[in-house]
Amino acid sequence: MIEIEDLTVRYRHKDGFFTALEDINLTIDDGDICAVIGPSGCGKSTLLYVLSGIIKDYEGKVLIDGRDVDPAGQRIGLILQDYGLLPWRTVYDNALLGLKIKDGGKGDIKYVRYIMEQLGLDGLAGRYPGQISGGQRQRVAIARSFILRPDILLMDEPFSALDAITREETQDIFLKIWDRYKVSTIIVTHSIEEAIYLGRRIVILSPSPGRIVKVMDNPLFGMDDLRLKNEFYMMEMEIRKIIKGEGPK
Amino acid sequence: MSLKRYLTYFYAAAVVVAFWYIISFIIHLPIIPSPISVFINLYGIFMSKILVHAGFSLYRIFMGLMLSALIGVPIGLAMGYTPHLDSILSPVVYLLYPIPKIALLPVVMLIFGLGESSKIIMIMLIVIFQIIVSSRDAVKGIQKETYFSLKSLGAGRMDIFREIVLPASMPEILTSIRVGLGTAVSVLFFTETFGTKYGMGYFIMDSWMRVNYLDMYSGIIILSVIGLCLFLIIDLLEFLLCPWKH
Ligand SMILES: Nc1ncnc2c1ncn2[C@@H]1O[C@H](COP(=O)(O)OP(=O)(O)OP(=O)(O)O)[C@@H](O)[C@H]1O
Ligand SMILES: [Mg+2]
Repeated sequence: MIEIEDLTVRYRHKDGFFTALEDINLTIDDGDICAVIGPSGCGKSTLLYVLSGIIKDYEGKVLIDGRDVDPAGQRIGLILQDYGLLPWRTVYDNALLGLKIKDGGKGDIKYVRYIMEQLGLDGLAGRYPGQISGGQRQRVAIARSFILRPDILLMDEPFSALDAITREETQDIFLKIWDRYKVSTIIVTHSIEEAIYLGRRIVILSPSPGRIVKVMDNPLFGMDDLRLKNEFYMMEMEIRKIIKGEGPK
Repeated sequence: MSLKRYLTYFYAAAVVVAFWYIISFIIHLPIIPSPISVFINLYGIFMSKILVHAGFSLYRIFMGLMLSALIGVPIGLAMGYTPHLDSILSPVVYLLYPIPKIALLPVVMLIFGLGESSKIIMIMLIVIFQIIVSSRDAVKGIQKETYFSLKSLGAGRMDIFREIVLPASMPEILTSIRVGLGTAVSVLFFTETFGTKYGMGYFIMDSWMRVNYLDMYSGIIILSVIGLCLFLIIDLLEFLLCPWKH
């Protein structure tokens, strides 16, 4: 479970502060997927930095499973917006970085191979990040977070660099793996469609400084052939209205 | 490290020699002999006269560089990685860096004698500061985002050092050793003109005194070749230590 209470984050710079997030209150139950959507610069990445222990200087309370955020003690799977791969490690070593740090490199090799294969990375294991495409790099970052088998999973626009078909395939792989392990997940996205497809709940943030505009339960989550259904478009229109500030608050 | 790149070295050498030939042809003085006669001379005296000097020079410069790197790199990395250490050591380094240490040669020779150690220490004294400062700045220049994935994994300081700090700064460390090599050749030459009967510096100056310009140029060529060989060794190191760069 992730509990966020009155979270405000300010960045310090030369002449004062910049408020990136303001008064965020949010609870994510065990095994929930929460999609966070909001305009560029509204503080989505900042929220994940707080939850993954990268930003430690904030106001308010943030608890993971009842404890303060502690990356050393907890298993936090984080997919960074810029993938966060180490240029000097091969695709394979990058994918196993989490295991290396957390468990000294020991892990379920079968599962590793399964993930690598599912994400179409099995032929790239020996290459360096500089020798693969942007979409492949993004899939390495996804593989790393899955292989870690985290307690919570934080994904920052994890499918943004993939083409439409690969994206849908990768989203389904994510749902399949999520369904098996039911990890509490926050997925940041700028795509309304993706939010409806992947989020059991959808959190809409306001433009900077990011505040929560609305938290919606998503009745469409998990529906078969969702993308073909009429409700899908209705929901998309509704969210679009809220983001534009016209809808019910 | 492709074959093509090595062909370009030959290319460059040919251009230099051609240029040299033209100048010697135009100026036509004994102080600039034609490269052909120098090469013939070099072939004749290399084994008998130059090899022993080349061996001494190679040893001194290699040891000087290696010790500078072995001591300088860890100090620089530690300074870059530990702000507290940096704030203590940086003033000392900045104070010592600009001192013309070459002028300390008499002092160093007085303390360490006329043997090999004083020459090696002289090279170290000058090269090590470049290496310390470059290594430190390499670490400081690592983008903070690079650390994010390891931070989110709760990695310890040693993990972060091994996974990020060391590999991220390796290319710049090797570059600083390359730059140091150029300096080391000059320092070596200078130190070998005092208190020794061995080394390329001695050989070149001695030939000059004896007005044997063919020998002198042969020595200069060999000293250059020594520098080039060390350069190539650093290239090879980069190839082995930074495989992601290719
Ligand atoms: N280090 C920093 N110092 C000052 N301001 C910052 C810093 N990092 C981010 N910001 C500001 O904080 C705000 C939130 O940034 P953040 O990266 O969280 O946005 P985001 O919602 O992830 O945007 P995007 O969708 O473009 O990725 C932005 O307006 C940004 O300009
Ligand atoms: Mg972002």
